[in-house]
Amino acid sequence: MKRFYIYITLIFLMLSVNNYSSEIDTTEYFKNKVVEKRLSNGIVLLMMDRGFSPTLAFHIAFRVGSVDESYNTSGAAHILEHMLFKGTDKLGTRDYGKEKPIQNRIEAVGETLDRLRLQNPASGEIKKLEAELKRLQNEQAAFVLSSPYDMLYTSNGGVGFNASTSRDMTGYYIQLPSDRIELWADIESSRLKNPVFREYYSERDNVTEERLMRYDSSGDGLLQEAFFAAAYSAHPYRHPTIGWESNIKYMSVNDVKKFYKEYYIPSRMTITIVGKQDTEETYRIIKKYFENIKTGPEPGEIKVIEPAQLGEKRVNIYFKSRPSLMIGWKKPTAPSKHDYAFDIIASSLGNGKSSRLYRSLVLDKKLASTVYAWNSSPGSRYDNMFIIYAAPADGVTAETLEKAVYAELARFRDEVDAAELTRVKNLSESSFIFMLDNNDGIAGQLSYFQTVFKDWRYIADYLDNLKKVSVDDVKASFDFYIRDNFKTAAVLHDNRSSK
Amino acid sequence: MKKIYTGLAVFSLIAMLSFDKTAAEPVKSIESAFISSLPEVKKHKMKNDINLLYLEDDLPVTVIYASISFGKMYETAVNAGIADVLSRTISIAGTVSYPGNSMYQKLESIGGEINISAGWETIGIEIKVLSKYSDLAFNILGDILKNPVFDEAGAASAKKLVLEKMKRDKDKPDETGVLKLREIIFGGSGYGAVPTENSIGAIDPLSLKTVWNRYASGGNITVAVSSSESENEVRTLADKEFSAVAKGGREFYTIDRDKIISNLKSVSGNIYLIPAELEQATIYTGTLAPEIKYNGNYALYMMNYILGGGSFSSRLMNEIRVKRGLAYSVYSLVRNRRNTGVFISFVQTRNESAAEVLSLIHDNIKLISEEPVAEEELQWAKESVKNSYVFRFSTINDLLGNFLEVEYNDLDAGYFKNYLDNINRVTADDIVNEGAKMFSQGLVTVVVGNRKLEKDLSRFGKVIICE
Repeated sequence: MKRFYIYITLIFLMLSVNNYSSEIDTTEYFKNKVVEKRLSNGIVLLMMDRGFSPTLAFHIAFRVGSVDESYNTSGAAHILEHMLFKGTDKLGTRDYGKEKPIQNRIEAVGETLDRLRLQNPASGEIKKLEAELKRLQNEQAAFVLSSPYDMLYTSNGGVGFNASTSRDMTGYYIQLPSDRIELWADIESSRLKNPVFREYYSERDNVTEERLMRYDSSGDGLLQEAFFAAAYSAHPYRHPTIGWESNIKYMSVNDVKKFYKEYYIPSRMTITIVGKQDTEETYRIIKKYFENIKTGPEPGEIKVIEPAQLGEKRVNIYFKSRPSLMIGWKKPTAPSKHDYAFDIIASSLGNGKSSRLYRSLVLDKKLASTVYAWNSSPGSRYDNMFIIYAAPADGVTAETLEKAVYAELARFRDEVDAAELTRVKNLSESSFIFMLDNNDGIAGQLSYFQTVFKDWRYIADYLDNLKKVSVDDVKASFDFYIRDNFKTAAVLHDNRSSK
Repeated sequence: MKKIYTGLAVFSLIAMLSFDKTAAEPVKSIESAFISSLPEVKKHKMKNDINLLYLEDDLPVTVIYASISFGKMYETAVNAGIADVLSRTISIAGTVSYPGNSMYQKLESIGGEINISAGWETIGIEIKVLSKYSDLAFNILGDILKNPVFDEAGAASAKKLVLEKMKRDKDKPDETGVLKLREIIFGGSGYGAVPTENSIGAIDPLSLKTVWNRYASGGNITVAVSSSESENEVRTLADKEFSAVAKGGREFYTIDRDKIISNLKSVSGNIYLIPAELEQATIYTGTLAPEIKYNGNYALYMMNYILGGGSFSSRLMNEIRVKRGLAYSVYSLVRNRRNTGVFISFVQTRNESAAEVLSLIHDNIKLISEEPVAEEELQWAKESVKNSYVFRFSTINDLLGNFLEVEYNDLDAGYFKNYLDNINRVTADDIVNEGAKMFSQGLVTVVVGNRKLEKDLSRFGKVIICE
C-alpha cells in the first residue's frame, strides 16, 4: 500500500551498459542465477539463491492494476488489494459457519444502502439501513480475528508485510527467515484461494482516508492526478490508481469480488522468491500449495486506444500549496527503441546533482528548488509518457520556470554527445550493481518485469538494447516526440497568493 | 475487556497456526547461530583518532560512510538550521580540489553516487562507487573532511534551498505538526529547534567554518567502509587521504533533562491546534523518552510495539483503523538517542473523527501505562522482535550501520549480541512501570486541522490556537 509509485523509479535502475568493464556482468548474473519454473496452471515462479543472510524476500504479483478497471469500478484493484488482508474462511474467524450468514447480510445491506444513497439520498430507509449495518458489524465483530496475516507473519519474524497497486499490476510482499517458506506458501495460497471480504465497509472508509492523505491534502498529489486526467482523454491511464473519491465511496463489494474472480488467475500471476534457499525444495513447496489454484479465462487486454492528440493540453489547478508544474510528452512504451532513448534523455536531464536540469535550474539560475525527470509513467503496459516535474524557487513564477525548462531541453537537443550518453550508462550500470546486495530489491525487479513485460529477461536484454542507442537515435526520438502534439502541461498555483 | 480480547485474538491465531494449518513444521530460532556467524567488522583507530570500520564485501562495490558528530540535535533556537545549511553548502560549493559541482560530475560520470546530509546527531557523507574507483572515492571524502569550501555564494544558495524547503514543508500537515510537537516538548532546542528566517539568515560562512573546525576533527569522525578491497588496501587509502585531518576530542550535544521535564509538565495536557483548511486532521501526541543507554528501553520498546509500533496488530492500529475505519495511517514510535529521546503517536483522520480518534489515543496510552499487557500479547511482541532480528543484519550496510550506532553511542560491545536476551527478560510489569514513568512526565497533543475543532478538542484539555 505504501509503495504506490515505486515503479516510476525502477526504470532508472535499469539503465545500464557495460562501457567500463566491471567485475560483474549483470546480464550474466541474472541469467545464471534466476531459476524459472512454470506451474501447470500457468503461474510463473522465479527463484534466486543468493546472499549470506538466512532470509527470503517473497513477491506475488498479478498483471492487473487500475488500467483494467472501468469508469464505474475505478479504484477496485486497490480496494481488492486491501481486502486481501482480511483473512479467509479459516483464518481471521473464530467460527466461519456462524460468521458467514452475518457477512452475507452485511454485504446485502451495504449494497442496498449504496444504491439508495445514490438514487434517493432523501430516503428514510437510509438511516434504518445504516443502523442495521452497524448492528450486523458489531455482531460479526464477535467472530472476527482482525489483521490475521499480520499477526502470524510478525510473530514469525516477518518484515515489510505490504502490498501495492499501480496502473499496471498488483503486488504482495513480505520478507521472512528462510525456514518459514512453507508457512508462507500455506498462508499465501489460502489467502488467494479463499479470501473473505470481511470488514469491507470500514476498510472502504480507510481507503477514503488514504485518498485524503495522498491526494486531497497534497498540492502535488492533486497536480499529478489532474495531469494524467488531462493527458489521457480516453485511455484508463487517466484514472488515479486509488480511484476517484465518489468511486471509492460507493464501490460495490460485488464489483470488487467480480474483479478478483476475473483477474486473480494463475495466467496473470508471478511468484518471485529471492534469498538463501534450495531452489529445488522451493519449487516443490510452491507446486504443493499453488498448483491447484484454478485457472480462468484470460480477460483480455484493453480495447481503448488513446486517440491522437491535436495540440498541447494544459491544465491549471489552484490549491493552498506552493506552486509546482508537470510537463510531459506521450511516447511509445517498451520495447520500442524510443523508450530506450527516453530513458537516456530522462537520466541525462534529471538523474543526479550533475544532471542538466539540476545544475542549470537549481544551482546556476536558481529558478527551481526541486526538479525531476523520468520516463515511463504512469505505467508501461501501454504507451506512456516522459515527464519533468519542477518546483519554482521562492519568487519565481511557474511560467518563468516552465520557459527555462524548455530552454534546457533545447540545449540538451543541441549539445548531447557520446560522453553524455556514457555518463548515463555508467550511472545506470552502477545502480544496477548497487542493487544486488538486497533480496527485496532484486525480487521487486524480477517480479515487475515478468509481470508487466511478461518476461524477466527484459532486464538482461535491456542492457544490450541500450548499448545500441546512439546520439542520433536520441535526437531522432527527441525531435519526433518533444512536440505540442504529444505534450501536456499542468501547473499548480497557490490559491493563497491571489487572496 | 480490551486486554482480554487482544490476548484471546493472539492465542487463537497461534492456535490456528499450530493446528488448523497443516503445512508448518515446527520452526526453530536461527537467530543466535546467525548472529555469531556474521562477518566480522574490523575496527581501527587512526593516529588522529578517526575511527575506521571495515567490512569486506563480495560485490565489486565500495561504500564509504563518514559520520561526523554534529547534527540538528546540537542546534539552539539561535542557530536552528545550521546543520542543514552546512551540509548543503558543502554539496554546492564543494572542496578546494573539487570546487562547485565538480565532485558530483566526477563521481556521476563514472557511475558513482555521493550524498551529504544532516541528521539529528551526525552529518553523514556517503560515497558509493564500483571498487575500481575506490581511490577516487577516498580522495573526494578526504578533501571534504580537510578542505571544504564555505564561501558566500555557496552559503547563500544553501540558505535559499533550506528556506524554500521550510516554506514547502509548511504546506504539509504532517511536517508542520511534528515540528510543533517537538518544539513544545523540547522547548525550542535540540530536538525542538525550529529553523526560522532569522536563524537561517544569521548563518554565514564564518559560522559554518567555526562549526566545521570544531566538530570535523579526528575524535568526532567515524568512517565505515564496505568494499571488495582488502582491509590493508582500505587502511592504506584511509591513511593517505584522512591522516591530515586534525586530531580532536569527542564532543556531544548536551540536554537539560530537568528543564525539559519541568517545561513539559507545565504544558502537559494542552492541545495545540494549528488551523488548516483541509478535510483531514493530523494528530500527534508525544512526550520525552529516555536516552539510548537507559535500561528500561527494552520495556519501552515492547510497550510501543504493542501500543502502536507493531504494524496492524498493534492496539492503536486495531482500534482506530481496523475496527473503526477511521484512518489509513496510524502508528507510534519511541526513538532513543545518545542523550535524549522522544515518543510520538501519529494519526490522520477526517476532521469529524478527530475527537473520537484523540480519545482512543489517550485511552490506549492510559491503559498501557496502568494495566499490564496480557501475557499472550507480550509473547507475540517478543516473538516478533526475536524472529525478525535477523533482518537487522541482512546486508553488509546493515551490519556497518549497527556498528556506527554502537560507536556513536558508546554502547557496550555486546549490545547486539545481548539485545534479544534483554528483550526476553521484559515482563508485563516492566512495561506498565516504564510506560507510566515516561507518560507521567507529561503528554502534549498537536492537531493540524479545521479551526472548528477547537470546541470538540477542548473536552481533552486546554486548546491553544497556533496561527
